[in-house]
Amino acid sequence: MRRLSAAALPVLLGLLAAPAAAQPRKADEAFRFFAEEGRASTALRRVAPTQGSPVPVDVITAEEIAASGVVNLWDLLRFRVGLDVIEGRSSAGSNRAVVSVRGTPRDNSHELLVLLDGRSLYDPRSGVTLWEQIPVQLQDIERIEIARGPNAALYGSNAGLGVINILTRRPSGPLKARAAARAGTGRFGELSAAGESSGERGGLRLSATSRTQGGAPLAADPPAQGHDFLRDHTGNFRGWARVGEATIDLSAGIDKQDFGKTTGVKPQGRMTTNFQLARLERPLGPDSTLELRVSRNESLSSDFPDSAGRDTSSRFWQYDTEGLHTISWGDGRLVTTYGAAWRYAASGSNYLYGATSLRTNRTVRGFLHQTIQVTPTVSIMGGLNNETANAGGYHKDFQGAVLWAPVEEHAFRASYSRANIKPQILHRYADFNFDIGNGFMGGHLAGNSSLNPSPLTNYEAGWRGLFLDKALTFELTGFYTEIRDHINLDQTSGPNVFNMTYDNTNTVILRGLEAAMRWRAGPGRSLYSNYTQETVRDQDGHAIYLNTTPRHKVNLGFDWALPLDLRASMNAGWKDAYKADSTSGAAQEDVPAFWRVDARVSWSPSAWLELFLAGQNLERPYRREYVDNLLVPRRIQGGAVVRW
Amino acid sequence: MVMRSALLALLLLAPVAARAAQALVVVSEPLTPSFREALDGFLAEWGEPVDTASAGRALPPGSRAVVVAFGGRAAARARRDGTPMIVALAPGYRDEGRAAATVRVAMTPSPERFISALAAAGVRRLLAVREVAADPDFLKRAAAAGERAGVRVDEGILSSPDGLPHLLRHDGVLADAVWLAPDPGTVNPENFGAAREFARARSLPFFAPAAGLVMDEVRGDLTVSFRECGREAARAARELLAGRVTTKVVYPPAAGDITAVLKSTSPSASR
Repeated sequence: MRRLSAAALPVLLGLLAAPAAAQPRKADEAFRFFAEEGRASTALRRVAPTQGSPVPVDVITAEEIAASGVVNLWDLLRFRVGLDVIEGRSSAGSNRAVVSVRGTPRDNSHELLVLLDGRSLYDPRSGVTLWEQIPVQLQDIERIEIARGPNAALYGSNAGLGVINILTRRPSGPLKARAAARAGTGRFGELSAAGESSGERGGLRLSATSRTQGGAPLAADPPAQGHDFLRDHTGNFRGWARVGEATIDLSAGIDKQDFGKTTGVKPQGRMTTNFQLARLERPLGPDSTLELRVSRNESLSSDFPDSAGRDTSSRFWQYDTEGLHTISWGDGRLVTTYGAAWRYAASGSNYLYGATSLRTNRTVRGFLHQTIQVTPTVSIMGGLNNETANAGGYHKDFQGAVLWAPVEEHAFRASYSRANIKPQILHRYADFNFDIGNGFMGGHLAGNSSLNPSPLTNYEAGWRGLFLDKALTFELTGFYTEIRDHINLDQTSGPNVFNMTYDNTNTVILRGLEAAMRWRAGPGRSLYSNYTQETVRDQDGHAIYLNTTPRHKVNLGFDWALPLDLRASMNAGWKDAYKADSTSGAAQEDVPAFWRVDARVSWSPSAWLELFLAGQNLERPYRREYVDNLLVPRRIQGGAVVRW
Repeated sequence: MVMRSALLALLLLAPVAARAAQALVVVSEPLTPSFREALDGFLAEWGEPVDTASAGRALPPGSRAVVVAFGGRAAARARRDGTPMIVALAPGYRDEGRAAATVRVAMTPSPERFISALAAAGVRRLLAVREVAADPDFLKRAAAAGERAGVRVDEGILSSPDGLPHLLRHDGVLADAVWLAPDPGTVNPENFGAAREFARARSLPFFAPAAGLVMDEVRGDLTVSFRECGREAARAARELLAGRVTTKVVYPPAAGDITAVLKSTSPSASR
């Protein structure tokens, strides 16, 4: 009996304590209050990177950008789950990086939609993103949201395998300024400056970056630089004003590049890109927001005349408008977003389209997206996009998803999506000769006017869990994607020695698993690791799809604030072997598995000054990633940042 | 208090009494302890019968002299009515073009009281973190009051949900105290933890955004309790009915149990 009492006592005490423990702590209750109020009152956005998203969303913050020490925008994406980055210049000389989501990296990867503050960045000629020409500076980026998986129901065509949204800093607070200088190996030098100020009714930010660097080393002779130089100048403006209840955002930017090229036929190129954007957001009530956006962008590329004296310059420009209305109703349990968009894209060239110097594409679309909170733990969402374009045809995209969050820290999701990859101007109307080596213009590319949109079907499921007071995040996603009527560039018969055209008959299947972990140990202290496994099957057996995707990728790194105002960060990534291939040439290259290591150390002796030393590709002097006969060099750079 | 809360919960679920009261109280769902505490304070101060309704249900028919809304959802529900309104515990609510009089009960003490609490704590430069969409008037007034009292208030504006560590590193380097404004977009466990770690690493006082978040190494000088918000809502409703309210925002007194709050903080937080 005594033994029983001794054993029963802790149980009894536990039972007595249980009601007290079941009571929410005061802090938990306070956090719950603010979370509920946030859901009830703040303005709704379209796709927020939260537990409630139907696709996995990864976010790169301004702090991570500053801690990374990277020089190029695309290097920010290298170590993220589900993404693949290859540095290399296509034969057109204009696309230094190939960024892909969920496989099939190639220089004309047009299944990925890249946005800058919501404005589409794809080149309307071919549907690709020309990363080196994006008129944005690293110092202006507030965050980058990477949504993996189809999102065409909201964003329209080409949002097939993912959407990357680059969001720039909105001026806030009193007058402040920043200037930075850095220099490094490979004749690298960069100066940048930015200033901003804002008040209650408006704000203004101006920024500029000027960079010069030597060309990339040649694969055949690494000490020799294949490109003699790259000079890049970027300027941006961003302002906002509050007019009554409406907020108007204005932004503009220009990027100008001069660079040397590997080809002796056109040894030098120039690219100029500019854009203007106006955005209006107005609440129509406590649960209703109207957003209107108008933008224009233009890109000019000119290769200095070749030996035959031909004008090979080209230009494209685009006008974009979009309006959407978001309403929360049924006491916040239902959220409806609907809207419409119109786009006019034009491409002018004296050599790309045969005898016709101007090709245009008009796109109109309407969309509706609905979220329903069925129970406090289960939500369903669905979306529909209807789109038509004179060069791309008509298509419907849709999405359905179920989210189940049995407890606040854990969310499971399953989704089915249909998105379409639309043919672009070049796919339909191309008609030009190209160099097949040693200046011999023996190749011909012909467009195909009967191309249709490629329907992409995606099934995926995932889990996201938070632990240790939400400081530790785990995420797991599995997906199966089928792209039918895939647009391929294939060899055909024709008037020249080597003839290429686009066809629409292939089927590509992608399967994968993505796992990620991030632990935020405190301010300025975080570490992460992620793993991506991808396999590709292709009906026609194209090497460019079957073998270009590394089967396994592992990344890990940290960012750690140290004593004495020091800070260290490191990113390391291992990539399985792959075959480098290009849609714009016959060359292929087997790239063995490799590690890449980037690191940065900084010291802030005072509030206004930071000194840093950073390096990319540290573990070897040169690495080949692509088929362009160029290597990615090790880069060591150092510099200073001054803030007022 | 427990009995009163239980009674209130029953009242919210029960049909409205036949005799319409002068005031209608609308409460957000779910009826969490925060709202119960505020309602308790309201009932204690008001002392008269009220009609009550949940924001998740249709408002009871009949006209009243004043509507008191607790929470953003309740305010959104009640704003469609043309009755003068008191809004409390709704830090994200914005009164957008409502014709009838609306008085908001702040979740902070008055800017002058706010500054005097900081001055008493020996603070000379405060980093006040708020979200970009939050109402800036409070900090503007606090900055003006601070100029007179020798306390500088720097606004750190949070423009992204994950931006606090970056903001603290860049805007917090010269501050000798940190405060998170009671905004829905600012207050969450991640931001609270980051601010507390930042203050702890630099031996700075960290002022909590709400009374419930006063804990070890976190001070409560700048907080008001939910109960006081409820009491202030009752006082404002009475003033509104008497035609004496001229301001759009009223401030409850600071936490009455500050002494107890300060005792609970560790010595390292006091400078």
